Amino acid sequence: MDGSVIAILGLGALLVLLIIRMPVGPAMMLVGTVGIWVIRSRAALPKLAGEIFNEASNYSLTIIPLFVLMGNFATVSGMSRDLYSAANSWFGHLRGGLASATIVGCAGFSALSGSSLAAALTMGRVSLPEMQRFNYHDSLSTGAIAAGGTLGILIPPSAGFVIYAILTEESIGRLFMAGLLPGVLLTAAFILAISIVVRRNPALAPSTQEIEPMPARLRSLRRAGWIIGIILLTIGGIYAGVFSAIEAAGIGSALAMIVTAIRRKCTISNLRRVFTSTLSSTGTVFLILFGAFVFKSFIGFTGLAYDLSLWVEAQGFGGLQVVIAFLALFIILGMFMDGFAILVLTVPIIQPIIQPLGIDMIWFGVLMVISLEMGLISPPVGLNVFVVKGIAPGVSLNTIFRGIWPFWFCMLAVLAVIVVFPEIALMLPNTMFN
Amino acid sequence: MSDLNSANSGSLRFLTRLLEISTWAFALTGGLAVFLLAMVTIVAVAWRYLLNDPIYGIEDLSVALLIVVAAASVAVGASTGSHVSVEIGNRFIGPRIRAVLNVVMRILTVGIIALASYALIEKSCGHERACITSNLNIVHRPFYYLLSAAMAVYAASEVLKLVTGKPPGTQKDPLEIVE
Repeated sequence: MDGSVIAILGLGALLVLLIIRMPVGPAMMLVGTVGIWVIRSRAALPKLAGEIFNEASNYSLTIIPLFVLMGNFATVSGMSRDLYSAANSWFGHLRGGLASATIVGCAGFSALSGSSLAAALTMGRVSLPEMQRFNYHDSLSTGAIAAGGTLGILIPPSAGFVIYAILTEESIGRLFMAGLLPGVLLTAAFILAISIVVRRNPALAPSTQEIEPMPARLRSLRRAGWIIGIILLTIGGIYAGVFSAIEAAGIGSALAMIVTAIRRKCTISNLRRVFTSTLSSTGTVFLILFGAFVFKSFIGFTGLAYDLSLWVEAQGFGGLQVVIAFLALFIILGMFMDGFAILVLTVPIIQPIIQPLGIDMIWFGVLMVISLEMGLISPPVGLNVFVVKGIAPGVSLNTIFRGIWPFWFCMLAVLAVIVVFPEIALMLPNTMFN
Repeated sequence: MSDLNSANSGSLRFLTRLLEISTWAFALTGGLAVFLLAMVTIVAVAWRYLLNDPIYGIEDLSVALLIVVAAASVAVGASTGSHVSVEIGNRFIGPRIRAVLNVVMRILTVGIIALASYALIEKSCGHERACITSNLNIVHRPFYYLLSAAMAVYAASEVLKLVTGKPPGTQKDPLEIVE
């Protein structure tokens, strides 16, 4: 049987396994192992064992547990709450200011934790009661939390970028830097969207808190100094080349641990919570990666990517056309599938197609992560929406989805801007280490 | 019949207890390994900058700790239901068919994870000479066995869910979509 036919049958089988809700990692592992067995039976088991071991011992992946640990310590130490309080005291008096403060808080927390769900969950718990107290409409408050949370996989450190870097063999540090300016741009776009929405319909944010005097604002900023310091040290250190992304993760997590101890929050129950949660989130990533690399080997054996790249070349498609087509595909897939699943399923097939077309893989990584972010808040299965629903059980899913649209269109606009101006993503990685 | 039932519930209790103990052991080891991983990284950076002398083989140590973390995280993830599944069109399937598909899904999951556990023992270190780390000569084989044990814990927890008939969506899993 032709390799490409086996690959297409494998992809079909994978889709069926995913539909019956088999976990993503084992599903890819199963299809990959059976596929390799069909093509070269003696290679199947050694490849299965080898790929699992290779990923478990991949030094670059050290970054995942360390950054997750840092985010978890930031939560139990109260640093994430400090960040929201500071944003609140500076922006809270503006119309729709509490929603804007939520976005800023999410952006800040995203710079400590690479997870969108963690950002939405942590900031949502702090900010939702505040917005409800000031009678913010549920659609605006929950929409802002869900959308703000998506910044988690764009602003470094980002688990999405780490997985993308491992799959494409790009530099994690360069990808982190590439996500920074688009993350800031998206944060600004979200705040702009809130201001436009509230201006058009003031009932969404009927009241505002009183303006805080400058000393109080400065005090709140000082309280958030720890978290801001850790963020500046880790991101600044990577940019300046003082340490690698992995070392930044280690330093950040150790500092977060020290702050937790200083604040006397290192209780047994907190430590148990932090480490169990860290292992749990790390397990999610590792199992998917184990499956992804077995599957990637299978796709390599079939030669599908090579056949597809020849087909694309024969059609005479330009690089930009292919990129736009893939972004549209990611946005559609994001409506039904988890972002990590899309990443590990598509990158091994897409990379050999777009790289010969001269596409910068760092730039494409940023575009891909933004489109995956859109999936996090797209109906019917936007994961962040369900996280917010968990915090606000009284708010209907329809209301949350209604509040999300302004932010979704913001993401689309930012995606278009970065397609047109790739320098927004590439400027920092190209100027790293001077 | 009642003897059979009590024997079944006895072995179920035994399996549950065994899983709890294994997961607890993995959680403890994994938590310690994460902590040590952070410390090793800090020491490596400090040594390089303060003493201007990189520590020989420190990366080997980090990799060894990472394997322990990876193994532990897979085992702990199985107990907390962190291994994500995807929602594509499940809502269009009726509850009866869904229950059958759930059994099929669990059997396939157990099958491939058990196979991975077997492969990690049987096919570990195909090339003996490549079976040590590059600097400190740490032997790989025990780490293959550790990963195999973690996979076995995952497979056993899926068997337990299969036997007890626990449907997906009932775990405390922030990543799993509960309809």
